[in-house]
Amino acid sequence: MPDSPAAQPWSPAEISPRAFFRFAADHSDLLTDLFYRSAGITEAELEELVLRRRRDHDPAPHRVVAQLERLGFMEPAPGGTATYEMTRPVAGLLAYLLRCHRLTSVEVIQAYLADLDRLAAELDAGLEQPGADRLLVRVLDEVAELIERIRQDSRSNRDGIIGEVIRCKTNRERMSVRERFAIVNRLWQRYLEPLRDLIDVRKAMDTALDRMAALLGAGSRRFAADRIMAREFEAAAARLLRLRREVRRDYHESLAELGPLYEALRRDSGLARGAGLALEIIGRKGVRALDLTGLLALPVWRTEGLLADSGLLAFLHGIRGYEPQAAPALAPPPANAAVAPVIPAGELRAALAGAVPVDDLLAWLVARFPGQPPAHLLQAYGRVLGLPGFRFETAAREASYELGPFLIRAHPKRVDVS
Amino acid sequence: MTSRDSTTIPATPGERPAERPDPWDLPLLGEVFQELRRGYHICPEDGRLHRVLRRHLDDFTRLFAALGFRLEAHARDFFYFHGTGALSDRSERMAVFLFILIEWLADQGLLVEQELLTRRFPIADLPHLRVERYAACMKEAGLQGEAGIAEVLRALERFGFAERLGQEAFRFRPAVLRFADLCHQVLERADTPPSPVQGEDPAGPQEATP
Repeated sequence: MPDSPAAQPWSPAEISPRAFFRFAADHSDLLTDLFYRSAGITEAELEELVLRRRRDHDPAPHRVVAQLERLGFMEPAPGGTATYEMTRPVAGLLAYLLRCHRLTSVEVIQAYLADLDRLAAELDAGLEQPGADRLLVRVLDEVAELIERIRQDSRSNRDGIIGEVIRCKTNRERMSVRERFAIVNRLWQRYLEPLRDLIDVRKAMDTALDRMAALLGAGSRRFAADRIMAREFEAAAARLLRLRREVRRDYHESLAELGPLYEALRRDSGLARGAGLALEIIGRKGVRALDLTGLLALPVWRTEGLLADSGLLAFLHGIRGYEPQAAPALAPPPANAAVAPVIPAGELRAALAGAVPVDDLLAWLVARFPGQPPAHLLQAYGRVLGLPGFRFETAAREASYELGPFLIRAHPKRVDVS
Repeated sequence: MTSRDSTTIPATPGERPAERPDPWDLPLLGEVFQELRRGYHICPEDGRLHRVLRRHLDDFTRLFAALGFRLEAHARDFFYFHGTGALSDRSERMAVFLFILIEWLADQGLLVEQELLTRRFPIADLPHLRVERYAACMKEAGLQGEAGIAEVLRALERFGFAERLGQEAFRFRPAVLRFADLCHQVLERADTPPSPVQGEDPAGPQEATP
């Protein structure tokens, strides 16, 4: 570029659209390369790039470079020495064509909100003021432009979010789960939230759009007799309606794309962070510090006492369906029945001490104390089992004993001196 | 019990009492109990055991509760007994093994949960012994060398967390998500500050609330 930036400032008024688009058609590959160099390019690099993209009938590189600046494709970068960057309108056009979407942040939405309020106030004032048709037309032009800008930004956010989601899903850069979650989380907070703000009926933007819709409706009614003015208001109202419909659709489509990935990465990010933290704690404090056994709470394997015990299992099978019956009431003893005296403890102990070893304690008691009622014999049996100085062994086989009217079955107890 | 075949559930006033089957008549009761009692996690791929548990979940839960066992139905469609786990360090070993694998998968940029549930893991490719820090954690849990890996895999298989695919590889069953729960629990515990003095936030960046 032969001249200094200050000497020939870029001016859109001087550009012929025909020359602009002809150049763009002839050098589309070059323009695409320049678009992706968002950090700017030095003059030497630019000439080298032009040379690389040069075709047979193209003019000399320095002439192409000059045309780039003259037609408004490139301009000097601020503060840079012989560094150039793509002009914003051209970059915006290429971003649109190449689907490289600029995401709209909360701050931009807030600026739109302020603009909407200002334009609504101007419309309101114009509608109150007689003969302000020209002013109203200008305001309506600005309203239409603002609405379209919001609509384009909403669409751009949707496309940008979907593009980022696809990048995160394919993950060609092999980013870790945590890195991807950070990206998706930022998308969610910074770019999806503004879209939601546009349609959330509790938010200021929705209120501002409502106010604008009401003013456009009022203008349309006010100019019912003036078809040209009425049409201006109706056109703006139709734009507003389309904006609201498309913003809602953009939000839901973005949510449908981002939501599942956000959830999956949030879960996985939690997993990765939890696992990383656990390993860090294990490294510092040892594995016991986490109480993993308690947290996982796996059941302890027991081989006895539960249904694995075949004896218990057989017993449970045996009593399956058992219905407990009330115990039969004991008949009261006859009033005139003679009650034998209880076997005295001392006599019992002395007799047993003289008789040991005894093979069958209950049989011995029946034989040693004839005439005693069964209750006294069983009482003595129980008392003997608690006597110190004796040793008892229980036989495996069962035996039957006739105690008066009762037949008792028990495992014989052998008694000896301990 | 009013009869051998049915039990009456107490009804609220104005409601007809519902009949429910005798708990001892629950299908596959013995098999289900045997598996759960040894700590096995019953997943959809266990077929009929899983089907009867899902179909009669309330009855099984009630019966096992009466016997002193707590049957858990996980949100991801598998069942297990919640025990005390007080006598074994197998849990620790399995957990450490999974923590390492999860961190490693995440660092590869992979979707961890999806990989855990779908991937075939060749034993030779595991990072546990190749990375020094991981090997140190394994050692801390009492696991050393390939024998340690084999021991953990046996335990994982026994409790229904994994399935061996021949001698060279294995895959995880859905029940492995219990270790994902464990990661979240570790994180939650760390998020609850134990004292007013705390360093950097171990939970990392703040998340949006969708």
